Amino acid sequence: MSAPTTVTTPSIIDAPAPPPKARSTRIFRDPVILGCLGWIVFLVGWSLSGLFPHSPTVADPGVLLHAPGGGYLFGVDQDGYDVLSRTVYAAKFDVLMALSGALVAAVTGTWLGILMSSEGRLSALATRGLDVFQAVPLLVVAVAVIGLVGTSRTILVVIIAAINTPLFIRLVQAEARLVRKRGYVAVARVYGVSERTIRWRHILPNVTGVLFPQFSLSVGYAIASVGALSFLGLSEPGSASWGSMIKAGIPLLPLNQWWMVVFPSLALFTVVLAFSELSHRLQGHVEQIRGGSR
Amino acid sequence: MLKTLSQGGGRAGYVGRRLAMIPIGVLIVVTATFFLINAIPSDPVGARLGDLATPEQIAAERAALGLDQPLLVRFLDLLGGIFTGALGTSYYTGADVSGELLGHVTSTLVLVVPGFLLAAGLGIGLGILAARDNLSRWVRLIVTVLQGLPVFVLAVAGILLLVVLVPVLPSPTGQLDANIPAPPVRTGAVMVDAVLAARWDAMGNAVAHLVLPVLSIGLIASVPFARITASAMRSALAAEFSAFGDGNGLARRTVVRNALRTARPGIATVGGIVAAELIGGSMLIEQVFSWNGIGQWGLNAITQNDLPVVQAFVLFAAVGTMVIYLLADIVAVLLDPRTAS
Amino acid sequence: MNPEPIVDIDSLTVKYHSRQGEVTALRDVNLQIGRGEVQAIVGESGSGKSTLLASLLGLLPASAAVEGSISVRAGDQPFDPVRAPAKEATRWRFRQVGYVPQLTQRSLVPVLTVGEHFRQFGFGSDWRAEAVRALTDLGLREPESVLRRYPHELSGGMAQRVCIALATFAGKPLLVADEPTSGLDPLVTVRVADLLLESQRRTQACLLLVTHNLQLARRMATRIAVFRSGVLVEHGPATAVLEDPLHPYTRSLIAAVPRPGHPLALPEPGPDPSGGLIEKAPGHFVAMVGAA
Repeated sequence: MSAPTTVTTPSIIDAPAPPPKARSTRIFRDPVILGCLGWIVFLVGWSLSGLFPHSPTVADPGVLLHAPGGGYLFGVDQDGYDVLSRTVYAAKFDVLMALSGALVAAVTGTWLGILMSSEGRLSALATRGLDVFQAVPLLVVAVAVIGLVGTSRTILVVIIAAINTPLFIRLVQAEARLVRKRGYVAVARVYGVSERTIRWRHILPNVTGVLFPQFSLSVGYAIASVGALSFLGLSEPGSASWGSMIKAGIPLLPLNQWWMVVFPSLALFTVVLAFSELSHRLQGHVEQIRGGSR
Repeated sequence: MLKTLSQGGGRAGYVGRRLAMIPIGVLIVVTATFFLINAIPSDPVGARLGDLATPEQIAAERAALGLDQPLLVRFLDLLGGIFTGALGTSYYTGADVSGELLGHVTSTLVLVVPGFLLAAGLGIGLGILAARDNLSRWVRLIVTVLQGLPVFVLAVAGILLLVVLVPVLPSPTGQLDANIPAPPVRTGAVMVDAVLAARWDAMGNAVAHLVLPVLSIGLIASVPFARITASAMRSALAAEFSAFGDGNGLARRTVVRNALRTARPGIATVGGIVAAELIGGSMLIEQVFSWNGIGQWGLNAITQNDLPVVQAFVLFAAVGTMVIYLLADIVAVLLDPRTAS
Repeated sequence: MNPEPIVDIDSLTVKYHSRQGEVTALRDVNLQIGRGEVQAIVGESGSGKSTLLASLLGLLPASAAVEGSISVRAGDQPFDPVRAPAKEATRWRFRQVGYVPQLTQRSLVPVLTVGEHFRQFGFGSDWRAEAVRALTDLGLREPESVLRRYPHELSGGMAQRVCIALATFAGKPLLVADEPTSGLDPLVTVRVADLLLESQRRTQACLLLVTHNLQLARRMATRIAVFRSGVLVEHGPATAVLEDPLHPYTRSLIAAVPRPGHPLALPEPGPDPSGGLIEKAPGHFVAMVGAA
């Protein structure tokens, strides 16, 4: 590899100024962002801590269908699991699966998006391929594959990544094309900087800003997908997840035994909401930072 | 007049070209589906016969199901079957797969079409409201809550509210109460069958069974409609042409109607995405309500390794998605004079 | 002054209330515009031009606090756009006021044909015949074919003519042009200015021209009013204001227009003017504070 020469751009060309520190601290003063992050960290942290009022993995057949109260704040399900412990415990599986899937999607999508941001027949072809890929009913295919092969954490992560990667590709591609039009990229090119260096030294640092809102949105979306797959009975058998808890609880709803459904539903809803609201807020901050540097 | 005619010809040409691509797309989709279903390791024979079957029994069963044929022969069989409308027989029920597919599709359509229309109406309405400053906060709140809700969670909330707490709707299982004799099966959708048989009692009950699933689909799927409408309306109302209209005293509703007209191509595109997602999403809603539609049919087949049914299900979803996207694309182009020529 | 003013602005003050506090956008403005006159309103951004325009059209935001009044005697009876309810003001504009925007394709709804625009802008059933006449008057050949086109199928010149025709349609007695030539190159600006003047003369409408372009004001206006920080600092016949400016701000504005052989000077931030106008020459008024 030839040593990448760092080009000192003339000062009149608008070099990308690093965003002032004040802006990043402003993000952490936004009460909505703090609230969303706080709720997510609290739930996952509790889940990872292993400190539950009752065992989430060992059922107690003596208290089947115990209504909420009396040492069982959220009640007991039809198998004898404490609903509170199991709901919190499930956060580990649901959120971490979604995070890993979204992370894979973000890395792959950024890489492909930057590659596909250049002009040329190859990237045009790849973009068409992406159009076709996005027309695949992924949920149906995922259900079919999992149903026939059996499920595993790897497959879940791959499916979540497959659903979300195109979103990152499109976002990064559009953003990278904008960066390519900026003065300093043109200057770097004139100075003979290689395409490779332009991609990873000039474009990559300038597209990371838009990744955060999309990442947060993707995690929320992925949690809903994991919930949907486990709701359809396709998550790892035996592992607690909100979707499978809701599925198991629905037949008992008409008997007024609501707690097996309500608490995992609330957990799923609030966590998805937290991630999408987080995304929305981050988007606002990203736009502000961009507007400020324009 | 000449001008419009020649323009119409351009549009017709475009539509023709896009429609001509359907067979090619179907071929690709069929190929991909076939190899996906048949290449992944599954054991339909073992699932049918259990662990105690002898090798001879297994071989006989494989031959009976046609699994001893080479992959290529089976693929050509499938291609031929698609042209004649024969998609094989189910490993389990022995029924004709294409017939079963049609029956289940009707049940799903009864659910999905009203849900989609409700979503479009509600979403576009919310979007128009959101473009008005004084209401946008409330609309945003509604949209935010709805988009965080997985469709099955909303459905469960609906059951809790309208079946358990305030029992105005029947028990949320199936298309008809168990104690009402079902009308003779003609389309597969109980509500339609009841109408065809003039069984008004069954129809009323079937409609009551439809309320919650349709409402769930409609509310959740309204979110993308609301978002695209609001953002397109907001930029249209801030555009120069709206200021021109306002300044010259066009009635507010004319200015808003013009803005909505500029938003239509975008709404059509989003409508296609929503409709395509409903194919997969109907699996979830049918699961909640034990609705005997295409999603339940496919899901059962998958858990039973019933390959012909799984194949038909995935094929239907893939071809359906492709056709929906294509139609949405065509509609969007026809609605936008800038892209039509 | 003109004995029969169409527009009579009487000590108009407009303030906006926001979380940051109160902003006075217009302060005690008095201005009369007569029939057939072309009144230019010039000033930098933030001078109050836009607020004056919005007041005259009855399009002020609800947060604006208004003192004083406007009276427009364009129809049978005087109308006060700043006091009238929004709906009434809309109906009034539809009948009496032509609003000429920035003259580009972007001022036309991209998904409507030109004909549909005329149908929305006009009244009566013979809008088509009138539209054809209006487009012909503005020098468009084959007006029938233009009516069937979508905005993106128009050339720049066609779009300008269509916009002017729409705004001046049905002989509206008051025309308000808002930076009609911004974004156009100098030659096109001249052509558009002449087209606008032609339409105005044909109907003897009173034309209010809001612009920061002094060249355009020189070419079109009979009278010029100079605004600065919400205050009318100088007002008079176009030639008097441009050739013999009395207020230092007007002078610096004129000096800031690049001309061959003259060094470019930017407007100076002189003392904030306030108070009424005094008449220095017949029909030529200037603000008392800061006046030479």
